[in-house]
Amino acid sequence: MTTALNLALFILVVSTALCVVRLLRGPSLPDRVVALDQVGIHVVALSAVYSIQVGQIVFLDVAIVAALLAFIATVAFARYLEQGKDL
Amino acid sequence: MTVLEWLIVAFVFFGTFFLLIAAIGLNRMPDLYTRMHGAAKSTTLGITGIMAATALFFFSSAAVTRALLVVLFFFLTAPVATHVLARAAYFRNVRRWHGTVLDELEGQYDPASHTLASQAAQPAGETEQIAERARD
Repeated sequence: MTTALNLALFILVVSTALCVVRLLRGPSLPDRVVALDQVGIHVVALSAVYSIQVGQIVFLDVAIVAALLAFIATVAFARYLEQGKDL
Repeated sequence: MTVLEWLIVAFVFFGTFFLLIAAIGLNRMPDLYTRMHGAAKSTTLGITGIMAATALFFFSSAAVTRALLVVLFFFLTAPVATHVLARAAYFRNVRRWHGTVLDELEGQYDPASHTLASQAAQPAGETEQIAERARD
């Protein structure tokens, strides 16, 4: 089970790296915001899998807070983008 | 490994698979709108799988409540965040894929006030409805 969870964590890290690639490449600013939102969601998944691996329920609270922060950041960026000028 | 552990690992890999699909879609899709479409839906499913695994692993009321909370939160916020961001991108005239067939919002939004044409012309719409009723 530890090996399987390690493999899952590795795949999640690779997946996060793919999101970071889009964050760096993204042709427009909204593309980067979508990628940032995805990175936040991957942090939620990583902390949940890590909580299974170490058997600590505390990391689920971390997941809840990370989910909240990802959502609020996305909405705040969207409000900011809506008021800005065209790219 | 017991049956329960197999089930937990299966749920974890189910969620991981869909998160990986979302990340690949984020890189492979041609424009912003298709990327958001791919990312929002598959991450919701992926988080649901991983949270089901944590609920099965701890199987206490505290863990199940937290897992349900996260899943419920994602089901509520993922569509809202995607919609708000797509709306902002539409107003900023983010370039669409050349293969886009239909844009039903074309010319419907007032670029200065960001209100819909149907909302701005409320009185005119009402008079049309009254005229239609009179015809009937």
